This record gives sequence, structure tokens and C-alpha cells, in this order.
Amino acid sequence: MLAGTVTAIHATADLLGEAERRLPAVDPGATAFGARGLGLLGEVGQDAYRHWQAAMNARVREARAHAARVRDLADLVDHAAGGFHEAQQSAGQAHRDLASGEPGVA
Amino acid sequence: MDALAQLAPVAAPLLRDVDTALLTLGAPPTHPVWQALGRVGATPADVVAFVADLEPSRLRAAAEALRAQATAYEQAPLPLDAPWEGETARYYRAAAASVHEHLAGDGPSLASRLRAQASYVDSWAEWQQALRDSLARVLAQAMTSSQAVILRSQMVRPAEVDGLPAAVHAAADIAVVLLGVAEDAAAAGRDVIQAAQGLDELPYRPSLPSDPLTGSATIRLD
Repeated sequence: MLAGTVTAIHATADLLGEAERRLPAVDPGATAFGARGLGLLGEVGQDAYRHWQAAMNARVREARAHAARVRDLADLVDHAAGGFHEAQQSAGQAHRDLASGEPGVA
Repeated sequence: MDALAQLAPVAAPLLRDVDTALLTLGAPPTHPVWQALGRVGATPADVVAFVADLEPSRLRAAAEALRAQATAYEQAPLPLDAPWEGETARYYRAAAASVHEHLAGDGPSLASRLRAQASYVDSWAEWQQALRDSLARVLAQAMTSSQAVILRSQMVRPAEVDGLPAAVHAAADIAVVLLGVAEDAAAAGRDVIQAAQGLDELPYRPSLPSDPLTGSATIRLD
């Protein structure tokens, strides 16, 4: 049950990690914005492309930071799963102790 | 293939004549072409060549890719519920809800930022297409104008100096309308940049209970 939760969380983290890597490739380039043009139109193209680049850098940073947050969630579930495992082992040991008549661990 | 793609090669000889006349013969001293040339910083032939090379489809492809990424964020399989109970589970639910809200919630999210950026680049694709269409219209008018006839006649018979003043004026008239398209487009482009919103980095503001990793937990069997 927890394994399925962890798998789904990791899939979300991977999605964001992949976005961080792939988003820069979406950039159509300065030429596509007309940033290599002469004079006034070239200046407009440069401004347009600068705006695009700043936005794309923000998207990449967002994806990176959020991938880390999602991985923290996976760690949280792992922590919970560790607690269950420990509790199960303790319960199993107590059951075996009871069955064998040995005193349990205080 | 749009109108400009069809017209630009046909208009090339006229544009060459306009540029040649401006560069070698100048223009009447009071003609508005001088100021237009100063503001645009390029000749009519350069402007047309530049605009003819613009491919709005490249920008639209980028917008589509951003929207596809936004959809992927919206469909991320992040579990919002915790299949166990206790403090950790409560913390998980709150954290997962915050993470999901930031990723693709109803308010500002990473997905909505991607869509805003897609809209931004789509706006530039529209701007480029509008510029191409306007320039094609003006170019078509210029090619069939009396000024074009005067200029072409002079350029094929350069030795006939009587027609020079009229040819100089004709070249300046054609140039000023073509440069005017560039000026109008530049103003519209500044508006696109001013209108761009929601492109900056979205800060993460989670709403979480404190002290998450303490307390007991019990697994829920369902």
C-alpha cells in the first residue's frame, strides 16, 4: 500500500525532473523572436526574447525546486513505512516471546 | 505560404530600387522619410527581408510544447491521501495538498505559469503574423502605385536626368509607408511586452502543521 504511494510520488518527482531537463529545449531561439533583426524591429525582438528567457529560467527553477519538495514527500512516506516495519517487528517479537513464555523487552 | 511569402520575391527589384535611390540620390530635405529612417534604423528592403524571414509557426510550436507540459503537471499522479494514520499522515496530507496546489491547483500554479508563458509566445506569433500581413498589404499597394512606375522608369533609364527629382520623391514616398508599418509594429510589440503577466517565478507558500515527524502512526487497512 505504501509502496504504491511512494511509486506515485516518485513518478511525480520524475515528471518535474524531466521538465527541468527538457524545458530549455522548448526555446525556439533568438532568431525566431526576430532578435537578430536590424534597428527598431530587432530591438523589439531582443526585448521579446529576453522576456522569454527570463520566464523560461523561472519555469526551470520552479520545476527543480518542486521536484525536491516532492522527493521530500517520498522521504516522509519512507519514514512512515520504516516506523510500521519497526512496529511490526516489535509486535512479532512480542508475539513470539509470549508464545515461548520468554519475558518481552520492556 | 502567406501573402508576404509570395510578394517578397516579386517585390525585391522595386525594393532594391528604393534602397538604391535613397542611398545614392537621397530624398527631398523635408520629406518625412528621413525621420522614419532614423527611427526604424533599417532600409525598406532590410525591413521586408527581415519580416519575410519571420516564422510564426516556430513560436506556436513552442507554445504547444509548454501547454503539453502544463497538462502533464495537471495529470501528475501525486497521491493526496495517506494510507495510514497519525501525525505523519496528517502532515503528509497537508504537505501533499500544498505541493499539488502549487503544481496544478486552481490558483496560480506551475501549470498556470506554463500556460501564461504559452500565451506570451502565442502573442508574439500573432504579432509576427499581423506584421507580415500588414507589410504584404502595403507592399502590394506600393508595387502597383504610380511612384513605383516613376521609380522603375528612371532606374531602367538612369541617363535621363529629367525624371530624377520625381524618382527621388517616389522612392521616399514608398519608403516612408513601408517604414511606417515597421514603426506601428514596434509600438504593438511594446504593448505585447507590457501585457505579459504571470511569467515570473511562482513562490512556494505551503500551509503545513508544525513538527511533522513526531508522534505515533497506525496503518489503515482498507
